[in-house]
Amino acid sequence: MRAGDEFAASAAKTLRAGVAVLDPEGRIRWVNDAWAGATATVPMFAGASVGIKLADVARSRRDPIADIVANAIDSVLQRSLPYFELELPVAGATGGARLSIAGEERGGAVVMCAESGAALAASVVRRVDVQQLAERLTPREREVLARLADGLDNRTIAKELGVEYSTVRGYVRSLIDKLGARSRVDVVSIAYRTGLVRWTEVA
Amino acid sequence: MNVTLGLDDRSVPTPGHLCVFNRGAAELRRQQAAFLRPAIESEREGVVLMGPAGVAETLYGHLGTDLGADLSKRREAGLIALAAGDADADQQLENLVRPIEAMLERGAELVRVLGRTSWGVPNWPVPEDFVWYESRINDAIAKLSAVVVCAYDVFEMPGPGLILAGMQCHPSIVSDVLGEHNELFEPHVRNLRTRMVNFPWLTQVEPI
Repeated sequence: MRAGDEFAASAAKTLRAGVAVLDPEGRIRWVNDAWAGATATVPMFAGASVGIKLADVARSRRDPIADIVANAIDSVLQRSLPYFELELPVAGATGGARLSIAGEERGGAVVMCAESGAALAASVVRRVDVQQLAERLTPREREVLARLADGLDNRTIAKELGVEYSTVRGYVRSLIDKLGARSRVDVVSIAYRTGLVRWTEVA
Repeated sequence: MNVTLGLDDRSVPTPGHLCVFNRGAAELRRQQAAFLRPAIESEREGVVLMGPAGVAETLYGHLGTDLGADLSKRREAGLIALAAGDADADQQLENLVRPIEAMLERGAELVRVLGRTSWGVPNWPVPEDFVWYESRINDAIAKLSAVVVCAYDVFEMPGPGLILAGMQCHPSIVSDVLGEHNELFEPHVRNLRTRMVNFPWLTQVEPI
């Protein structure tokens, strides 16, 4: 079994979801190599892959749901909507499916589907060497990262570390760059997912 | 201090952070006038208007028209401030908090803030950082005599995930349907760790 198939089978079992990217030219592709062979092994919509289903929906525009989905994709691509979610009824499945469409920095739309109640799929899965990532951060950046993960704002972090507000802002920007994040919250998300920062349950 | 909202029958203690829904610009204007009228009629209250680029200026123009008041002198006196959004959510938080602090330092007893929310516009935080900003307001104003009302246009909301996230940021809510106590409210850290970091469009990484 190829690594991609193994990953897809595992993902299909745990996430029960498929992920595809619709580029500005209307082509649908899986978001990374690991998913490349996954269309046949990720059961969605009674056997059809989500990519095929969405391609049909986007092309046909024969029913109201298709129109809504097609318009939402257009809106995301035109940047007039940052994000769109829709509950879809699915034949043969219980409770329908959730469709999410989000803009992608490279100019496309990320389209995600998950059966109701299951976790939403990853938009882009990037494998990172945590040790290498941690080594790229300075001790001060790690201190700031821990405080970002506690939800603190720059002013509070500056007070705690005894530095200027603008200095903290610089550290936050550096963390966004080094972690390849798109935002402040994304920095925290990556930090938790990789184990760079660990947290205990909040009461 | 208890503050009469003007949006419904209640008064809320300071500091307050509420969300109120509108169905377009006309309703927002009515809400703005009702909420800010007491501040304009008082000599001891300040007003901060906030939104994406140009929005605070528009709100300011509407406020003067709707209340039939010349607001320029109050603005010159520093009792009305127009705050700008920023792509950096933390900078946007500063843009909100600094004028409140300045007005209180100058002797204002209360500052009323009306913020018009938006999604996916230039010079405004990306959705997850905007939710962070909304959620962090509670801590940022914890020691300030201020009431922050965030106006959400129901026709501009991009999806139920973000609607829920936005509602989880506000301890109180103004809604005929939902009542005044927001049972969905989540404290900032919990909101960050359970909802914000799990928005499905964020960069997904797997450790190796």
